[in-house]
Parts: sequence; C-alpha cells; structure tokens
Amino acid sequence: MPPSFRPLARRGFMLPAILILAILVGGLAVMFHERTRHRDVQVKRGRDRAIAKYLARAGIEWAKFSLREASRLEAGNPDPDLESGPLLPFLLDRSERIVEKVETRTAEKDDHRDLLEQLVTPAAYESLDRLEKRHPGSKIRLRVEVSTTSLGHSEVVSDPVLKTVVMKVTSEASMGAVTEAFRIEEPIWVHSNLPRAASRFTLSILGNDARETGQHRIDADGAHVEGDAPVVLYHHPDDGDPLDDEAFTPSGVKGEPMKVEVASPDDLMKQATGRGMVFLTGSEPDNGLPLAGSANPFGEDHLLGITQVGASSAPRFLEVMKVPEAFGQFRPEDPDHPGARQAAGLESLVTPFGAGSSAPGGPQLPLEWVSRLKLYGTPKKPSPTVVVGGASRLLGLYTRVGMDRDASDADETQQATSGAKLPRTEALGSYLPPVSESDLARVLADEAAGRPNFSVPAPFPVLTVPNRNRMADTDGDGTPETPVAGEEPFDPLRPAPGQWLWMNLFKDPSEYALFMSRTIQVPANAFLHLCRMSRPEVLERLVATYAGGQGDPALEAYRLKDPVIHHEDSLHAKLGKEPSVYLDGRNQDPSMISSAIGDGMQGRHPGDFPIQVRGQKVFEEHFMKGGQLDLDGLWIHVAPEDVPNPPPLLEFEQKITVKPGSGGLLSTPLFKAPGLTNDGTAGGFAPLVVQVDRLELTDVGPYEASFLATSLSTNPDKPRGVIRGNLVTGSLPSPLISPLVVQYDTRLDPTAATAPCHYRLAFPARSSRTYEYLGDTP
Amino acid sequence: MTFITHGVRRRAGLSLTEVLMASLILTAILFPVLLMFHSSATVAADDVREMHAYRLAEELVEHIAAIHQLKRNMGPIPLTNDSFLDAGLEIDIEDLLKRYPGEEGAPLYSGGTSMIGSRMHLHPTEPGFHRYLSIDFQAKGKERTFLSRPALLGLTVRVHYTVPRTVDELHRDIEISTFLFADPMPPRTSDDDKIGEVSP
Repeated sequence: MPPSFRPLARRGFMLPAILILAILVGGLAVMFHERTRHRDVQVKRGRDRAIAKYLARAGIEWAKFSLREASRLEAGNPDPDLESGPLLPFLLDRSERIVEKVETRTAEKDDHRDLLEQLVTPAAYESLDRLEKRHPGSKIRLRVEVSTTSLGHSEVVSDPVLKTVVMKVTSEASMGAVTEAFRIEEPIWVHSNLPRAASRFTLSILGNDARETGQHRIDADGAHVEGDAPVVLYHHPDDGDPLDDEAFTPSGVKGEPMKVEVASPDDLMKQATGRGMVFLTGSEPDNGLPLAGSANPFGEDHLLGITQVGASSAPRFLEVMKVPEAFGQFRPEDPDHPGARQAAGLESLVTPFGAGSSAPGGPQLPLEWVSRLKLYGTPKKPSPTVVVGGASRLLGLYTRVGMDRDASDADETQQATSGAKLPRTEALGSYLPPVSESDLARVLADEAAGRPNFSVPAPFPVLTVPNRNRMADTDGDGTPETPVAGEEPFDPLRPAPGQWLWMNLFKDPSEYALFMSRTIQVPANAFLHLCRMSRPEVLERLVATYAGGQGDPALEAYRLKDPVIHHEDSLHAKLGKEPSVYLDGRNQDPSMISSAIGDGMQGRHPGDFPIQVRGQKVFEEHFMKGGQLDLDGLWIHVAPEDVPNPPPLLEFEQKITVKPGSGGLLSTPLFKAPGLTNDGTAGGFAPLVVQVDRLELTDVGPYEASFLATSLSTNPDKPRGVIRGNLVTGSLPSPLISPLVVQYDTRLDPTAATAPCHYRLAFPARSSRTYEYLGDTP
Repeated sequence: MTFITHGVRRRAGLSLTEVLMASLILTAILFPVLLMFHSSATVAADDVREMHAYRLAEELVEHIAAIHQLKRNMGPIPLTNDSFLDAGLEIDIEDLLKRYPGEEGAPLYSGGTSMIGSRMHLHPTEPGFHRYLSIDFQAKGKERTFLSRPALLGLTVRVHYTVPRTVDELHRDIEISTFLFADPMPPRTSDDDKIGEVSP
C-alpha cells in the first residue's frame, strides 16, 4: 500500500492542536498589541497634556498682558464709545449694562474671540495665533465673564462710572485629545485720575477754627503792618488770569503788582464794586460766618459749597446746593402761607429792598434776594467772583443762572443757538426781569440814560464796609487817628447800588442768553428765613442746626437734603441724568465730609500704593529728568534721607513744570517753590495732586495743582500767591499778610466736559488675583 | 503514538508533511508576534525617553517661570533693544551647566544681582538629552517713563534626545512653549532703600 494520507477517520488531532495553539498565540499577540497601543496612547496623551497645559497658561499670561495694554486704549477721549469701543470705554458703562453686553456677545459661544478682539484689538491676537501654529493641532480658546462691585470708596461718594469690574478669563487649550484649562479672576478698578469729590471745591478748610481776626493796621505810609489779607476765589472757568487781574492793581494797569495798602478787603471791595463785582461777605470779620444775611453761597451750575462756622477744631457747618429741576424753585415761600410759593412778580423783583412790599405782619423780606443770583462778573470782564474779607471766611460761589420763562421752546432755542446749556425742565414762570430781548434792550437803554431800574438793595447791612484805610494808627496806641491821604473820607463805605446794572452784566442779548442759561438751586428760603434775624441769632441757629444741637425746625426744613453734583460731560449724559457724585448732606457728622474730601483728593483706587523715594536728589534723578516733573501717573512719596538732620524736602529755586500728560500724586513733607505749571488740555492734561505737610508759596505762582496741605504760607514780600486748581487745607496762615488767590481750574473738574478723558483702569497686585487650574479633559 | 484497534497493533504518528505544515503555520503566526514584541520594546524605550525629555522641559519652564515671577521681567534681556543678539536665540543649557562645574545648578544670567536671582537648580546633564532655551518678545507694551516697559515674553524649551537601538540610535526633539507676562516695575538701585515699592 503506497504511502498516502490517512483516511480522515484515522488522522490524529495534531492539526487542530496546532490551530488552537495558533489561536492562543494570536490572542496573546492581540492582547499584547492592545496593551502596547494603550501605553502608546497614554504616552502621547502625556505629551499632549504637557503642551496643552503650557498653551493654556500662555493664554492666561496673554490675557493679563493684553488687558493691561488695552486699559490705556482710548484714554483721553471725551466721548467714549461704550458699546463697541475697547476695554476702557467698554467698562465705563453702567455696571448692569457691562454684564449684559458681555452675556449677549458671548452667549453659547465656546470661544469669545470676537469680544476680546474688540476689547484688546485684533492685533493683540497675533502672538497667540503664532503660538498655536508652533504646535500644529493645538487650539487656544479664551472665555470671559464679568461681574461688578462698587469701587470701595467712602459711602458718601458714589458714581456710576467708578466701579470694580471682576473679570474672569478662562483659557482652554486643546492638543490632540487633551484639553487643559486655567482661569484667572482679576479685579479691574475703573477710576478717575481727577481728584475725586473735592475738586469741585476750590477751597476747603478742614479742621480749622474760624478766626475772628481780620483787623488791619496800616502805617502812616499806608503800608499794611498787621492783619489778614483777603482770600480771593475765582470760581469761573472763564475768569481771567489772576496774575493779570486789574483787581489786584491799584491803578487798574494790567500786570502792575498790587500794593500792600490796597490789599485790604475793604479796598478790594471798593475796587471790585466799581466794576460790578459782588461780594458774598462783608468786611466785618466778627464771627467767621459768611452765610447769614451776607453771604449767599451760590454754586455755579452744579457746584456745591462747603463752609464752616464756629470756632472748632472740626468743620462745623456744611451747606450744599444742587442744580434745580426748574428755576422756579427759587421762588421764596410765602411766610404767611408755609409751603406756598409766593407769587413774586416783576414788580417785587425790581423794587429795591426797603421800598417794596413788606410781608404782612412780619419783618420785611428781601424778596428780590433771589434776583441776586446774577452774582458774577461781567462777561466782558470775567472777574474774581468773590472777595472774602477775612482769611477765615472761605466760601463764595457764584453762578450762571438758568432761565426758562414759559412752556414754549423759545428760551431753549435761544440758548441753544447761543451755545448755552438748556434748562432741565420748564420753569414755573419768569423770575428775573427783563427776560425778553426787547425788554433787555429797553433796560439797557434806560441804564445808559442814567435810569437804572434794578439795583442792589442798598440798605442791606452787610454791604456797608468799614473804611479802615481812611485812618491810620501812627502812634501805635491801637486807635487809628491819622487820615490817610488819597483814601475815601467816608466810613463806612457803601458800595454804590447804582453800579448794579444790567449793562454791567450783559453787553447784549446774546450774552444774556448765554449766561442766563444755567441753572442752580440754592436754599433760598433758608436764606430768607435767616435774613429776618439778627446776626448773633443767625449764628446761633446755624450752629444749632448744622452742628448737631437743638436745630431750627424751619431752617432744617429749608435745607437741601439731597445735594448732588451733576456731571455735564458726555459720558454721564449717556449713562443717564441720575446723580453721579453724591455727598450725603444729611449726615451731620462733619468728619465724614471732611474725610470724603481728603480721601477724594488723594485716593484713586483701592490698590493705589506709593513708591517711596528717599531724599530730593534721588527724587530729581528719577522723576525730574530734563528738569520737568514726570511722575508718570504714579503715587510718589518722598521721605527724608536716612541721615542725621536730613535736609528739608522738596525745595526748588526755580519754577517747576510738569511734563505734559504726566501727572500723579506727590506726597512730601514740604513743597516750596516759586511756581508750578502743568500745561495741556483735555486728554493731553494729567492732573497733579500734591499732598504736603507744609506748602510754601514763595512767589506769585501760579501753582497749577490740587493741593492737600496741612498748612501753607504765602510770601509777604510778594503781592499774592495764586493757586490754580484747588486747595484743601487744615488751616490758613495767621496772619495772612499776602493775599491768597485760589482759581478754579476747569481741567480738574470731574463734572466738566473733559472729565471722561481722565478715566483709567487699574489692576491689583498679584496677591489680589485668583489663579485656578480647572483640570484636564481627556 | 500507538493505537490498538481490533487487536491489531497499528502504527500511528505525525507524518513529516504534517510536521512541516505545523511548523510553517506556527512560524507564520509567531513571526509577527515576535516583530510586535520587538517593536513594542523599541517604542517602550522611546516612550520612556520621550517622557523624560518632557519632564526635563517642564522642569526648565517652571524654573524660568519662577525666575520671572521673582524678577517680574527678564532683566538682562533689554526691553527696548530689538537687535539684542541673544534675544530669541537658543541658549544651550547643557553648555551653561558645564560653565559651573561641581556646582548645584547654574544661573541663567551672569553678573550682579541678576546672577543671584536666576539660579536654576536643574536636573544635571544626562547623556542622550540636550536642553535648549529661547526667550523672545511676543509683544511689547506701551512705553512708560519710570516703570519698566511691560512685555509679553515667549518662552520655548526644546529637548533633543536619542533613543539607542541595536545598530544605531534615533534622534528626536520635543518642544514646549508658553508665554510670560512681564509686569511693569520700578527700577531698583543698588540701595534698595532708596526707591522701591512700599506696599503692593
């Protein structure tokens, strides 16, 4: 039988056994392969995770850098684009609106690039795109969430612009199948570089006792030997340069320095009266009370006034005013019918005090008092609006008064065409005569012909001025007995009512339209109420009412209890007409207001911190390169050198100039210089705040800054010292020999049209940030 | 194998053909398995070295980030001089370590306080691994006069490593990149009391 394959039935099972073995080996191979593949996947994932982690961290670093760079985009724009602008204007919006905008733009989106490109510019994304290309297959996605809180300032100040925006940025990076994510939560402070709150107050004296001096002694030559020089406040943006103001020159020659003997309040008042100026206080410095019966602290538009009364170590009297809804609110209350507005018509307004109607059954009320709202220099000759007779008499404000005669649009149209601001609402009726162009023309013609038909109520006692220049005390016995040649022989002097002429106020109807188109609210009824009393009684009532004693119910009722400052800038117009900066006048704790003013001068945002410099040399080396003061917007604190008897600082022989656009906060024990100029306008201007223990004005100046000074002095050898900005001080020099002039600077006004130029964003220190790893998602 | 059937002792066993066939089949099955084992062993070695390369790269990135956190910028790299030669070029870390023999780690910068504040305690040089570092400016912030200029720095670490094989070796590179934000800060003088931050 030849060899052959065995029949099937006779075959062994070698083949099946081999096949089974092969299957087992194959299975093992597959298992091994799977394990190898799994390990390879894990290794690859580990690699991708490392790359993705650092890409996600790069996204966080990119966000920190880009947000900070974007914080300076569009700074200096007076009309910021709140909707489609970059980060800074985007965050100037109302809090709720910011959140809403972000939510709308990012709804159901995995990557918020569109929004971020708007906030930080598309160009900023270039670096992130390059990074992605470096790692093919990678993708970085950024997401944004926002929430807002208050800025953390004192409760007495609030503003819809000032806020803290907490921005959460999530950076998510994918590489292969791995995604890594980090999140940063960073507060951004929206603040203004302008001194907050206090900058509307040209002069504030905190913690000063109201001195009762003001007596002047003049020697035989007419030289001023003792007593207070005046404090002069310029409260009008259009006021001229005090350095050239004729009021300070005896002959009216521009540039001629004021002589000592004419530095007395009396003489200034005499000169100013001849020019149509109006005093808000008389020259009787008996009790440091500028309000009662004499002063009428009108604010300019939305201006508030703060003053004090009494001899105390703290501000005692705080009075505030606000812009009215209508000019008609000035209408005095009928004393016989409390709560009812008196139907004061043309006749009562034009009738001089004493010759008009008297309130039945009561003292004569100067109903025309409200007509004195026209307290300002002429448009042709902007002037010091207030001359304060004693150094302790600090406040005088004046206004441009709004006018809206009826429900028609006639006045609004007229004022609009003249470039003036429109009244806010329709008034109850005309109040200041004349109101029509033809009437004004007629009155002006009458006045030119010597027939004034509106004048200052002459008998009002405060407008009598003791003429202390008339006699000099030559023998030193304290009693002036020697007539001074050239001085007016009359004592007391009475400002000529005849100077109170419309022609001194407006040269033509267009000026009238311009200057009468502003509105302000003053506590007129409170003034009227006080005017019926004697001065001591007024003082007593005021102190009692405002300093926490047993107040006068009527006076309390007349007080303005919700004082607000209205912004006039475009930004606040967009945000609505709601009160913006708010000082709570209801709280009678003066320390709160005092604190608000002090903090407002210095504080910018909660994270602001000083950079300390020791010694003037090091300070000049770093911050006065090229001879210009260049703080670069920082808060620089200058401390004495750490040596025995360190030299005083800062002292400068030459006038200091601030590098345009480079302001900041300078705190130093001493600032002594012949002048300080800070040029620039709108966004090209950066405010400088000088916080100083002692401010020495060694020359005329001007000193263009906001000063927060514990004490100050003017140079008695110089005719005056001019601060152009504002001054908050603990006390005025005693005696003040050389006049102190404080001039309102519209560039520092946080409510002015250029105010939006000065908003900035600030970022906290690292410790205030939260940084979070959100994990990986395989 | 012997089977007894019907009382007849018959011879039963594997034919040569069957043995040959079985060997062929087993060979066909086991060869790829062998290849897989070989390949897996190679990949495993590669993976181990790749992961080690990433660990070295991460260590270097973290050191640079720590130095950056301390200094808040990359001080020796000028912020205003675009033509600075070293900016953006690769720094050979192994070469840097060689310059400080016997020392623990090496400073990233040489000279002055920068050297003190920039010492990196890195993994010593390891055969088959070579680290390279490059730092460049991805974006520069707006100029400030007093504060240092802010910047967005790009940081890239490349690690070159080899995977030895029977007859040769593989050469591979891995790379990690990230950004660092250089925060503006005031200048410091030799006497830090003179100028600096009072409190952040």
